[in-house]
Amino acid sequence: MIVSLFITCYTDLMFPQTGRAVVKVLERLGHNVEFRNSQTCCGQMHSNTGYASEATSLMRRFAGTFTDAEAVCVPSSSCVATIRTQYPKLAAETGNIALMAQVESLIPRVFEFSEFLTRHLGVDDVGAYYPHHVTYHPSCHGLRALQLGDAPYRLLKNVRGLDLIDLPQKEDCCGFGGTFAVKNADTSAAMLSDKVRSILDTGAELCVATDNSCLMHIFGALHRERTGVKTAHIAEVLAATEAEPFA
Amino acid sequence: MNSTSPNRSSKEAVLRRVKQAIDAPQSALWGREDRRQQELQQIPREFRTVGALSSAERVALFRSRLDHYGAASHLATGAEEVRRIVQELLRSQKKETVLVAQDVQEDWIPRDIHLVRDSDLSYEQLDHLDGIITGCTVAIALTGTVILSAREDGRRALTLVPDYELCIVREDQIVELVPEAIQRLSSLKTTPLTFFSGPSATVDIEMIRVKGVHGPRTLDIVIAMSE
Amino acid sequence: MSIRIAQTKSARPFPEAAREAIQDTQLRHNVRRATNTIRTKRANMVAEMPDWQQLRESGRAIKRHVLRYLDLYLEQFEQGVTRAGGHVHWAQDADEARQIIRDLIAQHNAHEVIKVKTMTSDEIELNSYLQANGITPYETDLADLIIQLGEDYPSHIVVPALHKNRAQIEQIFSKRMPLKEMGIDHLTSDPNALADTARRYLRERFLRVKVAISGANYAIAETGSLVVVESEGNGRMCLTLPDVLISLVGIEKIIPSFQDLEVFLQMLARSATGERMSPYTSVWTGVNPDDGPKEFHVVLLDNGRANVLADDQGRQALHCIRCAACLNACPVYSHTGGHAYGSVYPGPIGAILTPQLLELNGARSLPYASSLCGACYEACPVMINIPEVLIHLRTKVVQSEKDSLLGGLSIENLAMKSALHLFEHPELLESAYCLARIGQGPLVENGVLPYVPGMTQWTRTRDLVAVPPQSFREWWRTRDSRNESTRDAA
Repeated sequence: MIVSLFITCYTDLMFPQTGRAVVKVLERLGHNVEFRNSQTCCGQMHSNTGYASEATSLMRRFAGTFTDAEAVCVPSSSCVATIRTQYPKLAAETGNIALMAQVESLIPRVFEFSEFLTRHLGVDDVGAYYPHHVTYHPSCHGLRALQLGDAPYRLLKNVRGLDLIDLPQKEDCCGFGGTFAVKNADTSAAMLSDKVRSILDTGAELCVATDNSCLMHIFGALHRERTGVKTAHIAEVLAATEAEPFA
Repeated sequence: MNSTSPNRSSKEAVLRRVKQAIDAPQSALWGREDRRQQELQQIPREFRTVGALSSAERVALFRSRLDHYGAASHLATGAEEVRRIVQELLRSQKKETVLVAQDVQEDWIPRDIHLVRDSDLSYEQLDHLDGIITGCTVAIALTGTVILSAREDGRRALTLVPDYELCIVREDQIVELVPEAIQRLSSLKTTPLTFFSGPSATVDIEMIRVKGVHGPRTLDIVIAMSE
Repeated sequence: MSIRIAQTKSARPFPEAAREAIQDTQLRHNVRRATNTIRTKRANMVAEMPDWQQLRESGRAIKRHVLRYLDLYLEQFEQGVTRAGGHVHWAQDADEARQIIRDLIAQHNAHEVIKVKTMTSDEIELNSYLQANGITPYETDLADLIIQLGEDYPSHIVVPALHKNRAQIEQIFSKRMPLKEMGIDHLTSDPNALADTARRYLRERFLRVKVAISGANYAIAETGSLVVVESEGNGRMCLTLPDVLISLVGIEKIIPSFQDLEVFLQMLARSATGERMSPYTSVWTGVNPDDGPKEFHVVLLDNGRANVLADDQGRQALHCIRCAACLNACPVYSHTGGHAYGSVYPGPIGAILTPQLLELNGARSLPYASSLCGACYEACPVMINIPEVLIHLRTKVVQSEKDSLLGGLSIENLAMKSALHLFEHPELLESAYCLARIGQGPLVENGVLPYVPGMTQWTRTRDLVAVPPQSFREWWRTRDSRNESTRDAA
């Protein structure tokens, strides 16, 4: 099987190390990966802010890029949520039967990274080593829209040396919410302050998640306040080994 | 006083906007009614509709719920025991002038209390009673609910104005689940019904539960077990 | 016809109102504590029910069905009420409802009415209207009494005064109640004492006032019955003791049959207050010669509900049974409280209902007052997919903005268009990335951007990750060419 990567627009620009980590993990598990150049953005930002026709253009691009892919692996649960919940509606709105069929056929082949490993590949130990205290923030899309369940936890628990500490009030939203973070910046910051408090209460050195969007926001406060706690995408911890540690 | 002309036109306007909104076809009236009936039948109802507990278990569950609400419950087997317990409760609560609702069996009523029957008493008169004794139409174990109906248990004001209520529930009137109770009430659905689940309470102040705002502040339940 | 929803006319946009609200530490403390308490209780009650999901499915199915045939059910309901000796009045909007109610009260030469909690009367601002017409309304729900005496606005659907603590309530009672006449020398802020004071203040009114106004949780089409669910007993007082009862009911409150109570009565209290059943549920039909009011009127209210009904994606907002589980679950609400929403209907449900009732002629910032976390949808007993409706309404707001001259030129619209352009031309992306790296140069400190002009909404409270030197696709290309050269070499 060739695993087709959909890196996502913001991970491409801001968090390339996540993409590199995904490649490392998949290749370590013996899979071939490919990156189709025509990919850009799934349209989540446009779709969630109310720019439906713009999002529809991006949906067409996504569908066209991956139409014949065996499996699409995405290190972002919010993007997969957009694909699963918004694409069928956007496609139906166009009235284009071929597009609707294309989207319908593609969606079951699109996976968030942690569910790809545990559910599609049936793997929950990827041979990782990361001897540190870590806490996991379940992003809302992963938790509710994708029902990731215990997939990320199982993966983290199998990382040798890793001490996984449960995050208090973990199901509370971090406050990012896409353009919400900017349009409602004060409320977003207020919600973030609660999330930061919970993270600090764990005593962990690192906070991981399946979404760099949440992490970018959480990092923003953790760093601003010089808390000494870092953030990283779960793929980066899963890519770490003794030979190639994750700093 | 039926709908006056101005209101008839408002009725028409509202219904017209509603029909337009749901895109209801102007014609095919009969067809639509048939579809409505059909769709109504197709509504999924896969929740529990029949209880699984034995009668003894139901009674135990009912009592634990009442306890949770702070309503005392007492078991009695046979009319004599019911009478005795009612008498003890009234004495200990110092209730002497008590109204007894129509549906309360004669042999449940202690002889020595000053019994009053409802003869169109005024609210002032109800206010001066020490308490009220009623029977019950149906009770729900899962939620600790007692349901009274105006037809069986007397007009609603009786259990509203006096400060103390003693309710006698027969064992066979206790069902486990809400759907079972609703089923039992189907012949009484247009009679005034009151469901009691614990005493009056409010959490409006800082989410702290405070009891006894309006309505009887003390509630005793006697469960008349079958012999 | 003019649709009026309380508080919306003078409401500030949510971001502005929220900014102020989150500075109110007393409010945040109260709201957080209240919502946490009910949320935990609700979760316990739901966990007890092995058939909770099935109940939710039924709840949604029943509501969906009723709305599809609402005209038929409304007529059936009217017939039931009339058959049982009651009267039905139809109100297209808030003004009409207010006039109908005023006229009914005036017909009895009454100058006082007692009221059971009904948000619908708050929606149409009934109290101030009655006052202006020489009729004094007495709220009898403890929270509504607190709000009325405190000349305040409700901030939550089920616990309207949760933004007040006991000391504040004691102050209000001390100022506005005739405590000396009531025989109270000194009022403490103990909740029991406060509740008892309210009881005494209200009791004489219950026994004296001849006209009552209520709402209804459910209106049963089959029989023409109404259902009121409550905790304190003031509802029973108002529904039973007066001579005349007027019930104001939104047209979306209809359920088909008595049997349907088996679904809703199992979910309402668990969702609203985390109890298995609320202390009192009253069901009545028309007038009963031996029991209760001699005269009964139902006022059916549209006031924009037909607008909501017309939108087949937004219509599900009318499933709402006013349990407020969504408010208690919402992280935005728990930080801002209800007033920030600028509507009698706050929180997640308010964010989708208010703008729709108003046909987006107001409350346009509410669909954005959400991070789309979905906790509300999870909690909703009738499965209203609030996040989906929020996105749908955002689309409508954007479309209407684009249609306007200024809107088409807005910064946001232009930014969205530029982003789209880049994403449709990946060959331009890398140049854009280059520009970003160059542009950020002077702003980078310690590998992050603590301040970015033009993005201060972010950087005021958060650092921003700096753009790394190489994007993924650039890395992949070098890796690809490295692989190619090793392949060539091999």
